[in-house]
Amino acid sequence: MRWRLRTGLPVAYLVVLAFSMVLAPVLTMHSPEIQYRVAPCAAPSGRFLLGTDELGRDVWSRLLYGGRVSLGAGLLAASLSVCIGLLAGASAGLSRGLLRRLVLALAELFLSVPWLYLLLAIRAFLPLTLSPAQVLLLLSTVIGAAGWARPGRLITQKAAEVREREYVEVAENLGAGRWHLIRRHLLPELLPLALTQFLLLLPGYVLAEVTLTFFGLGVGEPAASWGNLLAPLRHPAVVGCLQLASPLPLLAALVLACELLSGHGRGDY
Amino acid sequence: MPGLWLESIDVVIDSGREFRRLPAGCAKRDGRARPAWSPVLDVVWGRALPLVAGALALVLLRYLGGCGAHTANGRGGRLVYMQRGEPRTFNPMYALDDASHEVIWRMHADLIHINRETQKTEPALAESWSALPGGTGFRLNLRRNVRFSDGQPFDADDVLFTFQAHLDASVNSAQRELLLVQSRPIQVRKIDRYTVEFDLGGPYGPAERIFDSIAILPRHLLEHSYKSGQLPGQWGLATAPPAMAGLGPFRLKNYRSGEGLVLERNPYYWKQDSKGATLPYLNEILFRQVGNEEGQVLRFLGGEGDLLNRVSAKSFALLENDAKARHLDLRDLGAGPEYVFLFFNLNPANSVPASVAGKQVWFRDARFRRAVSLAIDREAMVRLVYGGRATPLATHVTPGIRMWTNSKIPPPVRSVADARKLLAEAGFRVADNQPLRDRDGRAVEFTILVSSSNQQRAQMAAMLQQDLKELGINSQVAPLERQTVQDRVLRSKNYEVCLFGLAFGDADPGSEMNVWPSSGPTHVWAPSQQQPGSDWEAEIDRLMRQQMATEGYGARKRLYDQVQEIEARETPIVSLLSPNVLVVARRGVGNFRPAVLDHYTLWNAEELFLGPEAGAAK
Repeated sequence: MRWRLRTGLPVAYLVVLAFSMVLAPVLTMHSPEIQYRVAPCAAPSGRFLLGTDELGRDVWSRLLYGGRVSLGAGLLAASLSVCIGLLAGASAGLSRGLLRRLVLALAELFLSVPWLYLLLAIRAFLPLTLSPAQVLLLLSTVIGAAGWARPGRLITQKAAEVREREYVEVAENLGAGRWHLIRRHLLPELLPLALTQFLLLLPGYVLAEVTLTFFGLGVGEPAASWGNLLAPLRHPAVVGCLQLASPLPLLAALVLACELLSGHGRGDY
Repeated sequence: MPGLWLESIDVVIDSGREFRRLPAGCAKRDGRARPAWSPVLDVVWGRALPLVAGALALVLLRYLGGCGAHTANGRGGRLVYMQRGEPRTFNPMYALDDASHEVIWRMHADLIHINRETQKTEPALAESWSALPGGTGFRLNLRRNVRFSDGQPFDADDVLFTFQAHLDASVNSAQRELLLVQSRPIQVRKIDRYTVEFDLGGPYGPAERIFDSIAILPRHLLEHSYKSGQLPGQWGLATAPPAMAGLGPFRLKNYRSGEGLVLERNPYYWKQDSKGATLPYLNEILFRQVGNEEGQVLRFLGGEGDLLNRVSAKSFALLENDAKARHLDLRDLGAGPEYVFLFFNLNPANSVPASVAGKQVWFRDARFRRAVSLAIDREAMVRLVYGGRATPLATHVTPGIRMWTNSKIPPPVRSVADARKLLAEAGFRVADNQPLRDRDGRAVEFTILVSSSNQQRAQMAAMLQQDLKELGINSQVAPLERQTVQDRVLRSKNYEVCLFGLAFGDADPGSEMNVWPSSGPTHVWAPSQQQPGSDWEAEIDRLMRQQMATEGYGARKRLYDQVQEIEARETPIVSLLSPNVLVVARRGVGNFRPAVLDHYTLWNAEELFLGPEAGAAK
């Protein structure tokens, strides 16, 4: 029962969420971008399952298609952060000298980068004609690259601890190479930590994409994203269009599911 | 004032209805000023004509006699004004932002003032004026016995000093450009202690409007700084109130960043009400700064303020719901001076990136621009983005600039069929459900640049995309930070199409001289050209210069009408809509007569007073 609550339910939620996003074309009746201008802010009905937004676009479609963007950005960015963190952390952990100090210093540096401003600056210098997919890739890359430091530091520490263990030293003395040490001794110890970090970073990065888009800096209109859906809610007058808040319960459940799965609450790491 | 950037503002409307000031006790219904007890009239009308005639006579008398500024029953009190940002300076020579202007113009006065309500000039510190022979300038007779807010007397030397400082290029006054006529600085001469002559070098269309918004500065306080080159550093936010003086109705009492700014009554103010009582009525105005409109609205609903300037249609709708319960006086003044428009990059091909130059073949064809204009559903934008509180535009002259609109230009009507015909005429390949292609078979597509901080613009851009799709045009929206948008349009010229907003700085075409002549720095589609890029631009240049050098409203209007006709024909900008000016006051604020020009609710601050209802409303 306890396992089901802590693992089964979150996994089930994530699977359903992922399938809904993938099957969006099948599960929706309207394009997320078509404006039914005679029906702005329409209430949920048989025609529009979750109603329409201020421009008369189907909220259900925008929720599912928007989820692809927001979750996609989170997945890509979290994967990038963890991969870079794993690579840098494992290499630094194995090294006792300059490399470790260099990686830790770089991590400190990246933690101090104001990535929001960095993103603004990068966007200003890029060509204007960027498709939503390119913007998504850009967002994910910047968020992911800027966020490697946290997992990187943790993984470095863990790798350094493993590196000091007797069986690793014995293997090294017997002539095991660096790659062998990483593959056979470090990775099995580091992967659970990397997975935990991934699960912790994922909701944060999804929220980062939502926040950036909410403030008009992410994927622009008319492409759907959860941030675009929520953006009109910044004004207190949008009380008649509460269906726009539909990404909120999904986001809250995502954070909870990832938290439960990461084992963070149980204090494993 | 020159045309202004309008990227952070989006506001108010009343679909061109006539707006008249109303006395207390009058209500505004169905767009007409009617007395609050007019339903009684409706009943009487059917029964006794003589009674009706008598009542009408009473109404007329009341209207004629009482619809101007009311004298206050009670003086004193503190009015709380909700301000969107902190002022950056108290120095009128260097103020560029709205927040600074809102404060500064309560502390200073000009020689001749444009009445924001009538949009006409009226005497201010100059009690009368006359044109010089040949119409080359003006002789101004100054008011006597006028004192600055520190008690020092005002005379022609202060006027001379003010204009000398503004016109001195080394001072870098933000208003210097306004005092150049045909690129030459105006000449100022003192005739006697209360008479000054201004030589404009030739006939000047806007005439005495040139004196509006030039604050007369106290020579006794600033001359030393001017001579020592310290003027730019004077009257910053840290300046102690006694070190400043002005000729406006209020003076600075205190300012604490983050807490608010208090202006107090100027005891030496020169203006009087119709009964001869000195103005202003209020003792103090508190400027309370709230960083964003949403916060302002919520705090206003919480009873924190008395006046709210220029809210968005969404906020207006929210406040409207609570207007009765919270005793709010909401006014929709109709189209303001702002116009939101779309324009294409028409800069010379050698000054733009190659990718943009390739698309300029389409942009330079007026039929293409007109087709885009025809395909846009402006009515839907007004309805969905502005909740009906905006006016669709055919040209850049909004109904708010009522003296200068060309009534012969028909209102914009959407017609995708006509747009397709125009495109076919221009050699484009038009086919149902197929991308639009040019003569060479290239698919027509472009990117629309838009400010990311303006939600209405983002929504309008999304609607544009769908409208253009009906022509087979595939467009993308690029939301960028406001400053980046301006930089790309005016400097790097690295953009294809842009959705933008500008505002008339004054209800006079003179304020558009930085926009419409091809050499204008804000001639957005091709700024600061050495030579006009086309014949029609050369014709606009000629007409704009001619109207600036022509005297008389009628003659100038005819010239400006021609500019608008060329604009409608050539469509250098696709005018979309003008947001309404929407303002709010707590009921009980007397003489609340907002105007569509700046500063909307505050322009007559000296006449505002707090009636007994104001306290109860809070």
